[in-house]
Amino acid sequence: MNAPALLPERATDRQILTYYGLPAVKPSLWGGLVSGYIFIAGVGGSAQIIATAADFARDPRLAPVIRQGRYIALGAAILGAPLLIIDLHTPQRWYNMLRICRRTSPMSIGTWVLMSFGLSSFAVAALQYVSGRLRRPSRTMQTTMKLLEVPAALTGMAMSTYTGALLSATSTPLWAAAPCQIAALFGASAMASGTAALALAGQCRGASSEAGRALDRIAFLASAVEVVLMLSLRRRLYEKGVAEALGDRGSGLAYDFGAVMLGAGVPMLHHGRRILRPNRARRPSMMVSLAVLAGGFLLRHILLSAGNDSARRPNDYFRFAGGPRQ
Amino acid sequence: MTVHPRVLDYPQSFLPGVIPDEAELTAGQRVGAGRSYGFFTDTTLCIGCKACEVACKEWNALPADDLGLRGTSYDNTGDLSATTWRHVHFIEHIAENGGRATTMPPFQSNWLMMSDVCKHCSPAPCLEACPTGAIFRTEFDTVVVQQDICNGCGYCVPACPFGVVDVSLEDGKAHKCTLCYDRLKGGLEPACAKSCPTDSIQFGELGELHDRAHQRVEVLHAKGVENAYLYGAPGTPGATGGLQQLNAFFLLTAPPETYNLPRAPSRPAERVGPSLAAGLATIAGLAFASLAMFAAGRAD
Repeated sequence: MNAPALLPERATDRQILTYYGLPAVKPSLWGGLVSGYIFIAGVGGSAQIIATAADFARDPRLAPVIRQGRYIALGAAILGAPLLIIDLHTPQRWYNMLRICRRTSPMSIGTWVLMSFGLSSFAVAALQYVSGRLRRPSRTMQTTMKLLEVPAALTGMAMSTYTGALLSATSTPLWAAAPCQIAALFGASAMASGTAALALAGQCRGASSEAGRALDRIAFLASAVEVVLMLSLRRRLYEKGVAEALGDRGSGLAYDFGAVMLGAGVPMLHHGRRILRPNRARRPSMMVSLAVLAGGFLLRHILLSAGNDSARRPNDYFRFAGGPRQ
Repeated sequence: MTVHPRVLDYPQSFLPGVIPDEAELTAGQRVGAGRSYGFFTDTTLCIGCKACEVACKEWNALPADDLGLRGTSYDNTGDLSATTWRHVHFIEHIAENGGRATTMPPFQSNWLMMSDVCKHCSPAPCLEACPTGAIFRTEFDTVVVQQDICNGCGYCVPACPFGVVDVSLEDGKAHKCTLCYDRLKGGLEPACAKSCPTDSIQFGELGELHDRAHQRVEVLHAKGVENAYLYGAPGTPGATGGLQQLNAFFLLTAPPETYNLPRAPSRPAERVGPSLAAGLATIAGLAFASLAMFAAGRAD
């Protein structure tokens, strides 16, 4: 038997020596609660962004969108925090998250982002509610709202995307191999989901046709960006040799048909058609909005569980942590 | 091998208490705060006795794991976990045709054995991921989870590039090797190193351990073990991708993957910046596009 040379090269790219096929890294303990949070954080964060953008346009016909966006954002912050606390394994110590602020930890960054998003969203929504009840809202109130909606929207941007860094700043091969793609995809998907949530709210609670037209365009753009990013993520994972966990029949089909086609592709075509032919199909389809929301959740849940799966595959990890490619 | 002269001060079998600076007698050096300590695990000396696993469990009062047979050679431990902080790997070299190897490389059997442990990385990915500050770097340059702070968020678990840290579902806290923080405080050598009968696990100050390890590699090369190399010492495999060094480092004689170690691990914190920037740039672009679309609607 020949002694192996100093740091021998891998036999082939696909075939790597493993230790009885046992995992080399541990998968995260996250499940549905965390994918649910990532989804809700995206919907709320982006609803706040869209509400602020609508407010900046100074168009009185957009008032319902602004109002509904602010309430959705507050709802997401109220719903999201308990999801994270329940997911802790010692939930009664949740406040220890507030002991430090650490920029190398997206979990710590996220704690403070969620705190500031929640507080600013609460303030904006409360002012919105009070000024809606008053016959003549005071100018101070309006100015305060305008001042507060900017930090609310900025933290909303962080809410929609920091969860990508949360996944990628780990040693889980599927997440760590595509730090930029996942965060960008979460951002685009959050904008699409936020728009869908606002479109649904508009259907239920009433909205102007101007708001509907603008939302159609935002939805089209966000879905188009999302489709491109989904495909580029797929490609990146293949290039890095870590796509096998996503290529498994179950999650691969769910990703391609559920997240890419139903959650982004069909909505993109639907909104594209409505932009080109505004007179046909008056109302945006509620089904399409629901599909965007379902696809947004599915995307996050598939990426989360496929990531956990990839951590259990030593070959995937060794390909990711294999040093410069030969 | 020489015996420290202070050993003669303690001839009795049952001691009245802890020997002051006991590490000086067992590991050849005193333990002092402010210096860097670590393990040098020389796998060419490991005989697979698992004394380290037992000593670790005994000292740290860790419960027994599943006692079943795994069918993976003599390794019935499987992996490092919340309740297993030392784990001996057993790799049986089998010839390429699938049969037993009939020849042997010099100074080695056809077995590879390696006692795995937390690497106490510098910088440590688990510490950098910890959002509560429960994981900290001690005065001995080791990495420890403070049990009274940890809230079991579990982020250190996927952050670790070596699959070491684990959250116990029994008590809901993260656990891993402490490099016997309590023993170091009391001037004692860590339990696993003290119990190692062949000195495969060596405890000491890092600078000295590095010198010793490099010398050992040279000795092995001279004896014909040309495949001996260090893993985790500065500038060697394992100390890659932003990880300056592993305070617990190894001497290996086969590719790292054989021992379930990554060839080029990386520091997850280096992905935070690019990821946040890409995400924020995308959403900022979409936010400005939304503003433009709302504003365009007003012009109609």
